[in-house]
Amino acid sequence: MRRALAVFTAFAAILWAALPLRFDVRGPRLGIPALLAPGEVFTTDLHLSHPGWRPALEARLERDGVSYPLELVGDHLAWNRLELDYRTPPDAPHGGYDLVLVDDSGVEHRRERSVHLLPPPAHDLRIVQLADLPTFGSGPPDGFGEGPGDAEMRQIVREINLIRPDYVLLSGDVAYVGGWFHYHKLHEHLLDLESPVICVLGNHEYKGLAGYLETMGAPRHVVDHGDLSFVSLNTGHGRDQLTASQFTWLERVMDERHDQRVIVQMHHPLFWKRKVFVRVDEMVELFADHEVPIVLSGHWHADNVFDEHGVSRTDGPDFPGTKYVTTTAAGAELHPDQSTAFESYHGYRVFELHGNQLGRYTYDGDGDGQPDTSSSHPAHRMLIEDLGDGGVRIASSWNEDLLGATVSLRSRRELVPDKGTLLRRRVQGDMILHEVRIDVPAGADFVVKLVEPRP
Amino acid sequence: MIAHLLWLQLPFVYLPLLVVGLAIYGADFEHPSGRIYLWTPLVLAVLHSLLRHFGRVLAKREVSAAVLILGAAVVAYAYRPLHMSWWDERSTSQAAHILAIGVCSVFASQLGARRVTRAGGPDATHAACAFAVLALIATGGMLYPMIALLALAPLMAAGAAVDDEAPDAPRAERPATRFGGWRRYAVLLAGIELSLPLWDFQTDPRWALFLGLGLLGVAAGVVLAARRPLFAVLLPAFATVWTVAAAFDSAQTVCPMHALLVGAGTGWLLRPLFEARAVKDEPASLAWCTPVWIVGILLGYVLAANRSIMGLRLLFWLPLLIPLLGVFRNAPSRPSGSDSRPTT
Ligand SMILES: [Fe+2]
Repeated sequence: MRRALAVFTAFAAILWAALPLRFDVRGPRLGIPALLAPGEVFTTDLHLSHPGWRPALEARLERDGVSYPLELVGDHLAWNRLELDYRTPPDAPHGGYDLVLVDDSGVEHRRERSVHLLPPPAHDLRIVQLADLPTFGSGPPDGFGEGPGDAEMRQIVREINLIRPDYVLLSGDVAYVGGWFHYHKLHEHLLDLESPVICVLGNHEYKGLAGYLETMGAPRHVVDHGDLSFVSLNTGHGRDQLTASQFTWLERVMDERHDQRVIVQMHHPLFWKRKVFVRVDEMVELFADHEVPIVLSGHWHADNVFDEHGVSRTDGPDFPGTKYVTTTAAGAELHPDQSTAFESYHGYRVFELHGNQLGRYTYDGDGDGQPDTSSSHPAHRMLIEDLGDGGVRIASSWNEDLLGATVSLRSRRELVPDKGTLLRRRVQGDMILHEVRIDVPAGADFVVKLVEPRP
Repeated sequence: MIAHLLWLQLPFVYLPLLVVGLAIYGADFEHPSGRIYLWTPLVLAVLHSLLRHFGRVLAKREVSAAVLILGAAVVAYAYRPLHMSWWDERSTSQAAHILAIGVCSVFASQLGARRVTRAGGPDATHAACAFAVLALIATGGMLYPMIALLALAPLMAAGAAVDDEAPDAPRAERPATRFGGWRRYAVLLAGIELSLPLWDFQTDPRWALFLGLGLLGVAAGVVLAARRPLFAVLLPAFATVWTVAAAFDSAQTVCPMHALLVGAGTGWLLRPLFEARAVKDEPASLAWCTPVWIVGILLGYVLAANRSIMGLRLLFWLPLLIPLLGVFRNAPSRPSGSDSRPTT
């Protein structure tokens, strides 16, 4: 009797934990997206509640209310990890999609904007990087509600959508207070970005690590897109200063990508103070060997640029070797004493890549017609106002031209823009979104609107 | 062996996992969850001491079976929310669940200890087998980081079903080994050394492999300590090489061989515990070994987190003392214990 009860208890205990059979979609995620061309294959990584179990799933991509079924072309089960390879529809339009997995009981598992169908990366790319975001929400740390940080973040998202980079990098301290609620808020804000987002954590994410991992995913990762790779390292302050196991991972990742263009981001800078302390020389050597054009950081809430000898450069942005760049805070308190920029402000870094050569990566802060040594682009100096009638007002207080910006105009009918070039139209519910390419000269203030096409 | 398993799971599985969860995922002591975690060690220590002094009622077979089965159910209930989600520092319910599992773990440990005592004292072979099983359980963390907590449920159920260390022929007179002084210090250092890979891997659950390998090493050390001539030379030699390497470059600590060897060294140090006479319902003085070992794990975390501070980095040299202590302290003192060891 006692033995029977004991055996029953043991089995019941194990089953209780594993049942009902359930799974978690670990990848791709909003901040660790799959980037590929329509018709190519990406891998979905599932974490199963019971080893050896294969859930029956239906998978699709969703965008603007339209579904595109995914074709399962391979799978790999290892204990409690199931990798499913899905082929994307060759006819699906470019853009960011939700990945939707439906299990046999009809429950939907959605990873919003985790798959981006894109052409292969071009030779010339524009990338935006930001870190140390404003504090979302209002009230106590776990309080719900809107705060000034949300308005700031929305403005930054509008500006980045206008700049329309090929990729957006988020280099840590992304929800400054670090509660679950703040990560949900962050997730909401990021859904408004048109470009794919690649996100890594900073020291502040260790104040609510479970919330970050649940919302944004793995603490370190690599995202590949064609011949381009983004390596994101976890330098969470005081705990994981590039531990031995992470460095071994980095070496392997870099080795496997010796033919790739590699961009690296990590929250802590490698040089000067408040930095990564261990394995710095090894990392610099590794990045030099692989001709990494730029290593991006935040954490200082200040602009600064170092060469690979750890010298803070003030003589101009052009010098040989990898550029180690720290970018000002996008919303957190500024620390001008650590900045070498002409002026301290909230902002983000806009940089260009030509092949594997770093193009322009600093802003012309002093307005002398030349890019500064370390300045990032200022936030809140580009007004984008939706006039509500299919028109948008753009007022730039930048010192430099923004070439090839993209503005989105809405109407109920197919129209044409009165300025710029129509890139494409997207149907969103009963509205039609017109994406228009336009140049925004320094100091310009103009309205672009939709008009009837001329016969 | 099951009594040994019940006895040893508290210091070698539950407490290390509690420290790992709190250290890797953080703790917010201004949040109610953090305050529960602050009280947890105290509550468990008080409960442990109460059970030691007033827990005679637990000695009854029916009572112990009922407590173990109830405990297994509580553990399963409390573990479930952790199975597929992250350790959440700000979850009050999770903190309460972890405390509940801790209470079960203390009950199980005390029941195990009583059974071991009743059988005349611990047994090295049983202890080695128990460490091997605990190693397997800990390694399961590679799949689900905290699954070793759930493993307590089948262990308790097994304890209810099998009373394997029921009084048998009284084990012959044994030395009342004092597990003190240098040996305690060495266990502290082993805690530091064995925890380093845990802090290195962080949220990557491969740290569980290293915890498992460390415990497997302990099992091997307990067994091999009987074969002194070979072991006493080889182990310190290997462990010295590895610890010196770890002092120069912490990358060495994430070598599986390193965890095995340091574990083996620890097992070698612990062996006298399992050959000692039970004293006052306590099988040897594990009560002294446990806090020291857990403080070692915490110190390992402090070291790993402040690796950049040169003075602290020098402390990585300390573990070197384990094999040296083994040679100069352990070996000469062994013959008396070893020779009078009864056949088991
Ligand atoms: Fe930071």
